[in-house]
Order: sequence, then structure tokens, then C-alpha cells
Amino acid sequence: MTPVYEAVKSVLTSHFNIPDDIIRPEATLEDIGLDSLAVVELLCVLQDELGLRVPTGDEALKSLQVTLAQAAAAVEQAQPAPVPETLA
Amino acid sequence: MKGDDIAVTGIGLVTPAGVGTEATWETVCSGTPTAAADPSLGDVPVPISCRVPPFDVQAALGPQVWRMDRFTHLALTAARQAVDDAGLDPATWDGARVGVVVGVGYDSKDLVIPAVRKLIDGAYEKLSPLLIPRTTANAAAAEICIALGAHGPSMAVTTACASGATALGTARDLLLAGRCDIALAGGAEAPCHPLPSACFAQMGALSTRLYDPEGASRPFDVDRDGFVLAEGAGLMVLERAADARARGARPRAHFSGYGTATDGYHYAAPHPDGVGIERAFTAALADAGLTTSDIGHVNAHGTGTPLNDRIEGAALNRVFDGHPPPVTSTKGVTGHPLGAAGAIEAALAALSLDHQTVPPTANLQRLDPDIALDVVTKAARPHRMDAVASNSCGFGGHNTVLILQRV
Repeated sequence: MTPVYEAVKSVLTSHFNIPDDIIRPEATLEDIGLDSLAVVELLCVLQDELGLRVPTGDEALKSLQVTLAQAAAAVEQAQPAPVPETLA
Repeated sequence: MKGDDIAVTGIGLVTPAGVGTEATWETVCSGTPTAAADPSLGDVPVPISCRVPPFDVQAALGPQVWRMDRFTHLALTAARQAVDDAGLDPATWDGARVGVVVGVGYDSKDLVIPAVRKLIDGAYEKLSPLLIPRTTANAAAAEICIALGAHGPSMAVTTACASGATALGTARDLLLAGRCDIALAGGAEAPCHPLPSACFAQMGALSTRLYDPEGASRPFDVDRDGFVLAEGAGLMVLERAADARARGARPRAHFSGYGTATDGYHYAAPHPDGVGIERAFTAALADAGLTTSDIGHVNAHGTGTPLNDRIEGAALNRVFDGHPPPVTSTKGVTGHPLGAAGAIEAALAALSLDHQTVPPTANLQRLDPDIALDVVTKAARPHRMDAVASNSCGFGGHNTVLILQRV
């Protein structure tokens, strides 16, 4: 699988404590026990780890019936984060 | 014994002195301080704390630990212990008649600093959606209700460092009012983080005994110079005594008195005359139908700050007309777990009754000559007692006294 999929898998096991054996590309977000808030949390952690910015309202990630492979593909299409502009 | 008395039928403790009630009791009775240098606090002015010994949180709570903050981990672990201790099975109880009241003082700040950085960067889409549900004061109560199927009244109460005691008193009121039949109540706190540590240091509230962390929490000692930040949780199962008897439970104590009063004087300092402590004590005695001569031991608030200990000592002397019973401050061992303190100390007071033993005040080498109390020190003291009081005070002038009686 892609590096992004591997990153998704890593976050699901390390951050969400989801057993490795139920994390499969064809499993849906719902299958692995995530709810809508947990999906947003997953995106937040992935963005920090991968240096991406993914709009949390991304239509491709709105349904809990999205598979992990589809979710990883949607994240992969996101653009790298711009250099932060601080208020300082 | 009053017919409508409330019984303590289960105790759960997760403290720096141990994960579990017996482990905590043994360490507290040994008088072994738990304060130590805490590298996780970084370069804050006072990098000392009292931490709960490491334990497998996921094994204790299941895979959903990611959505909970540290204080909720501690609270839920203690709640499960208390329910087991009471011999109750959440799978079979009538959840609609089970209430939960958890006292929290300052909650944890682990998520806040990264969130503020993202906010400043304008990275709104990176803000965790869990920041709110994880850090609101009611988070621990809510997660206990979800985990244990409690569907009666539930809430967080906060009276700063008296929160855990106030939660127990509030739960007692709910039971007496008939709003539930079982109440899980107590307090939880996880403040060992650079932000609260640095802020309490700015207030001058923390001991700066950096050369001797173990000796830093020294309540009532002439050389005390502040408290040591601690984490922990204490939860108890409360039931009407008649209900407990009917199901064959063995109560650990009767919870017969609750008194609370507010100084209305200063946002951080106690009233110099300790008037709130006296009022709370008098109210708790009246609630229990007891007099001071019935109280065999006081588990004091005893933070180890110069001001608290002197004012509390004077107030207890006035309450007991110059003849206070043996007093201890278990904070010499546990440090100060803020909103959890009152609940942990009430649980320890119940254990004192059960074991007829007053634990020592760790690190008390020379009693402050201005404090005329019989403070137990050096070693646990066997002591016959039929009723005990636990006193708690919080910033803002909140005072709560709980009275427990022997079964």
C-alpha cells in the first residue's frame, strides 16, 4: 500500500489503540469503530505527522462508509501545508 | 444511627501512594513520601510532583482511552475499583437509579498549548475536535456514565481543592433526596503539567525544596514552605444504608455528616480567622447529630503552605475547644492532588475507621509551635475511634467537612 495508507494504519494503532488485525484496506471507518469526531481527530493527527492540510469538511471523508484505502487516497490528494504565518 | 443514613460500600483509589485502595493505604501508613523530581515538567521553576505509579491504562479501561484526558483515566479506573469493591455489577443494576458526581479543580491542560499554537498559525483544520469533550470539567463524570451504564443524575462539581469532598457531599444529598439509589462520587485531578506547575509557582504556593524533593511536602512542620503538585483520583460508592443491608453489602463506613461554608473573603487566601472552616465543621456535626467529643480523628486539609496550616490549626482548636483529637495530613505522602484531595482523604478517613489507625504525617519533624494540634507523625498510631472528620479547603474560600462513622 501507499506510504499514506501506512501512516493511517500507524496512527490507528498508536493513537486510537485499534487492534492491528482489523485494520484492512477494505474496512470502513465505521468497521474499525470510529465516529465522526474520531475521523476529524484522525485527520488532525495525520496532518501533524505528514505535514499536510486537509479540510476537515472534505466530502470524500464525510461518510463513515469510506474504506481505509479510500480515506488514505483522499488524504494523499491534499496539498502540503504552507509555511505558517504567525500573529507575532 | 439515623435511619436514613448513607453508607460507603465501595472505595477506589488511584494515587501517588498506589494504584488501588490497599496499596494506597499501606504506603500512607508507612509514611513514605512520594514527591520526586519530575523531568516531564521541563524547566519550570519547581519541577517536583507526586505521580501515580505507572499502570496499564488501556488494560484497565479498554481501547477508548484515546478520547479521554489523564484525569478521566484516573477517575474511571478508581470508579471501576469502587464498583468492584462494593460488589456491584453494572451489567445488572438499574442504571436510571445510579448517579455520578465527580469533583474536578483545574483539569488537565495537555491539549491546550498545542491548540493555541495552531490557533495562532491559523491552522483551524488542525484543531482537535476532542479538545472540548476531553477537557471540560464534566468529562470524567460523563465517561464514567458511558462506561458503567449510569443514567441517573450526573455532574461535575468544582470548589477548587475542596471539589472531591463537595462532590461526595452533593452525592449524599442526591441519595437523601431520593434522586438515585446508588451514587458514585469523588474527585479526580491530573495537573502535573508545566502550565499549572509554573502558575502555582508564580503564586508562591509550591514548596521550593528542590534539594530535597522527598521532604518537600511537610504539613504542619515549622520548615514547611508550600505544597507539592500531585495527581490522583478517589471514588466511592454511596448507598442508603438500608439498601446496602438489603443486598448484603458490607459498608466500610457510614457517611453521616456533610457541612460546607464559604469564606467570601479572598480569591486565594483563607480567611485569617478560619471562620469558613468553623462553620463547615459545625454544620457537618449538626448534620451527623454528633458533638466534637464524638470525633476521634481529623484528616486535615494540611497542604503544607505556611498560611493554610496555621489557620486550619487555629480553627480546629476553636472547633474542639482546645482539645482536638489526633490529626493527620496525608498530603505528606501523597502531595496535593487539588480537586481529588478531599475525596482521597475522605476515603483514607474511612480506612482509618476500618483499621482503627491514624496514618502519620510524613516529613513532620518539628511541629510549628504556633500550631497546637496533636499531629500524628513518625509512625501510624493505633487509635480507637467511632467517628472521623475530613476537612477540605479550596481557593475562593470553599470549605467542606465530611463526617464518617464506624459501622
